[in-house]
Amino acid sequence: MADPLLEFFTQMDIQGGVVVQGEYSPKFDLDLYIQNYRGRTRFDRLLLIGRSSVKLCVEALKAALAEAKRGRDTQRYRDVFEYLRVAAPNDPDAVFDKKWVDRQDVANHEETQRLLTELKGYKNNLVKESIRMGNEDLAKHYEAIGDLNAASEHYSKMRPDVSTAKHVIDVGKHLVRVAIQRREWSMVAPHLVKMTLGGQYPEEERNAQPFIRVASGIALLGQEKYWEAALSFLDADPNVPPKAYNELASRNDIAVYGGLLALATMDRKQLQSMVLENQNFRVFLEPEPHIRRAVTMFVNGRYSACIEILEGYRTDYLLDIYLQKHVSKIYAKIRSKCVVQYLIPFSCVSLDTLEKAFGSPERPIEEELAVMIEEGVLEARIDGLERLVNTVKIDPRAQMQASALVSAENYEKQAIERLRRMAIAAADLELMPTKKQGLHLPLGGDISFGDQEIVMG
Amino acid sequence: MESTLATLVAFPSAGQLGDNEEYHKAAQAHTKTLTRLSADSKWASEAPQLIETLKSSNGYPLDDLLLKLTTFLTSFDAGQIRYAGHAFTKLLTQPRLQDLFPASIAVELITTALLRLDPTGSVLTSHHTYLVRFAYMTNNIEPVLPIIEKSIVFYPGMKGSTSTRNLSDPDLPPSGFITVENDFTKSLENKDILEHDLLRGLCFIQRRSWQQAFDAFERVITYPSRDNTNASKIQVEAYSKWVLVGLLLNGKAPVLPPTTPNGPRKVYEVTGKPYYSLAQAFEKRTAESFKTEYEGLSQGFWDEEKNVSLLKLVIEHYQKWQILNLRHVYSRISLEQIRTRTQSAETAAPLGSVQEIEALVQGMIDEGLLQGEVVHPENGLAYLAFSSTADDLSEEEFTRRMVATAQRIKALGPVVKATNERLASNKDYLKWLAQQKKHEQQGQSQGGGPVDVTGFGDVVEDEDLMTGIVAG
Repeated sequence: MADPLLEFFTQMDIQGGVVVQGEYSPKFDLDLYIQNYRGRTRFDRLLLIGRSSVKLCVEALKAALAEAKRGRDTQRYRDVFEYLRVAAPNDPDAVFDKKWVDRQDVANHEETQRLLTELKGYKNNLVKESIRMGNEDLAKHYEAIGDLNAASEHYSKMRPDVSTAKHVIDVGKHLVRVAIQRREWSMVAPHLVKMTLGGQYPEEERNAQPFIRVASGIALLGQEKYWEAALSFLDADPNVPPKAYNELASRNDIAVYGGLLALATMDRKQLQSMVLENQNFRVFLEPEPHIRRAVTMFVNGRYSACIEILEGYRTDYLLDIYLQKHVSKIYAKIRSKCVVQYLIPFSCVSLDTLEKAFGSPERPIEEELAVMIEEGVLEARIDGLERLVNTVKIDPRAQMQASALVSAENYEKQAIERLRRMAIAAADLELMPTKKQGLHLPLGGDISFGDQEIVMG
Repeated sequence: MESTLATLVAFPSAGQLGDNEEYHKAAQAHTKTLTRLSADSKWASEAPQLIETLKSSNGYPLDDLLLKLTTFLTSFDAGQIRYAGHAFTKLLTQPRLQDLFPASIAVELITTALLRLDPTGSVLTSHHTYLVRFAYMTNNIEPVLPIIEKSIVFYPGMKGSTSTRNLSDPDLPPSGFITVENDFTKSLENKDILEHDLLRGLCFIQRRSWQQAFDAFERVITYPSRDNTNASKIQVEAYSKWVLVGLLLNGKAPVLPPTTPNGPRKVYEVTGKPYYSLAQAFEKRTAESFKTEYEGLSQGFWDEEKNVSLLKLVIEHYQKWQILNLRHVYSRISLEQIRTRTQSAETAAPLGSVQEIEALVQGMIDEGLLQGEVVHPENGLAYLAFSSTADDLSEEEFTRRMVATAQRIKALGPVVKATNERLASNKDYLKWLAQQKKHEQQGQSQGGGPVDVTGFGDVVEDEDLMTGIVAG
């Protein structure tokens, strides 16, 4: 029989998932890693690692199975069991606990009914605080059993009955958490806006700050707004204990997300002032010294060293729930930024020098440069004969002249077009609905295109 | 006969008459006499003798009627002709000139005559539509170019174009006398106009003037449409050609101008889908999907669409544009690299040999499509060196183009003036003007402050002529 693991990852690959090959071993310990998180994100993260890392597959899936069983969401249990059954059919854990599932399903149903009845009672009594709590309990229950839609609905219903700043923050947190779980990135920002209290409750706001920053960063990352996402992560307050936000991300994550995105979008000066000299962010960077090193290398102009460090961690980041989809894009951005920065002081660099600094065996640097120039990232021309890269200095005079010509020509074109349209309107010659609404007759008169193919001179 | 002759030559030459008014009156009277004369039964018998007499008196080499016709059409008095629209039209259509002359000469004659009549070339007449169609059908594009290169901005039947001024007024815009009433043109329908621009585009295709062809087709596809009327069949045809020519011209899929009305836009999106997908595929790096697109449509489709030759050119240009685009990346590139980096759209594979690439590149240079040269340095490889200044304008070139544009814009002055005049005599505008005046008087008689007068735009239903053009 074929290797079940191989079969499993073939399937994952076909489904379009990211597969991290066996020979790369992640630089973290699964147990320690998952301890950093709280709530439903634990399962999501374990499942993602199980689906992506050949090395950690079975371990992560088993952990996810256990995690699911600790909770109340039976669908999650079924899902992860399905994966484990394919990946490790002979594992002692790969036995479906039908009894538990059935029991849990019944219990979930009863709990839903109970909470609904309770809420109804609260509503009859018209006590706002009870209604708010009733909704919260029900929504929490829905979230726990995986009905995120209903959860979101009831969390929203809490809002009319809030009475304190903490309540406002709580509603926001709940809604944001559910939106992120559902990957509805654009929904996150509106919920976050409603969490700002306008400076009246400094204590609450301070505590909510890192949550807001992290959530907004994750949502922006999801929408590929890397620069804004970087700013958001860099602004997080390190003095609030991680418990406030570790349903979304850990302290290490903030360092990694913030650092990588800053590297991908900022220039050297900004990196120096906004990352390295950022007292708050330094605290986050402490447990992730390699990110700090990579940024330092970039700022110091040692671009190949920067790239080397990052490449060492590529697989780790591919196992991150929010980064996975963006790793290759972010890395490509950093890489091309390195090349651009490298070229800035020179008017002309030989391809061989560049090859030495950035070349990789898979892809010659010339090809990469060509793509960068095509995409407009780099203003340069490659001289294939002398094997040189010449940077192009933009001539503002030529640019101005070109744009002047374009606007003059556009002006003429628009003027004629306007005159023509006025004349057509005045002569009542616009296309008008005919009695037989539809296509007009073909070319009339004695002309027929049927027998007149265009003869090319 | 004496009297007839005397009547005919009775009109004084331009210098003898004083002002316009006098000229106008004399011309009107003369026209009337002539019309009466030609209706007279005596005319038919007297005409041949008359010609004889004229021959001897003026010393014209009149042994050839055609020559006389030619002389007339190329040298008639642009002022007098305004009174003779009926005769002018008759001359051009009965007997048809192409029956008397070889087609190329007929085209040239009509072109010259129409431009003498209206040197601005801004008014469309039924002669134009006929001429362009005839020129295209007989493949006489060159002689008709002076006419089709002009931008038409006036159409017969415009409300308010009949001027109160005399026909002899030198400031009278061409749209003031080239009218259906003066018999210079028959009235036209919108399909005539669309067809005219489509044919202009086809003529330019023959000349391989891609930019002009593209502009002509653009006029067809952006033709204004009322109440979201669907595109006409001519427009759909123009759209397909517009896309293909756009690919030849810019190497990328053209974007519908913001002035395209919504009704036709929807039609293009549906019926023009094959062309749109083709254009999208043209922009791809590898030729595979482009090949799939055009092969996915049967030969029958292309035959029916009458775009076979154009498509062939587009296929040919796929690789050419790939090579052209390399100029943004390379200053010099080996032909071997060009070979591996570009693909022929016919085979969806790189060309077989460097020699083929060299031939292709050399062809592009000779054609003027590519600025650069093939060099053979000592290392034994051949390279294409793009000329570095190809994209930059020289000071002279910049000045020349700027001045040319400025002059063209200046030349629009009279046209704008004519349009202004026409709009100023618009009934709705006058109504508003009168209203405003009344308000003003009321304001004065009441001795009050400024009266809040609603603007013209508020009174008249706003016809949005140029939706989105400013943004675009």
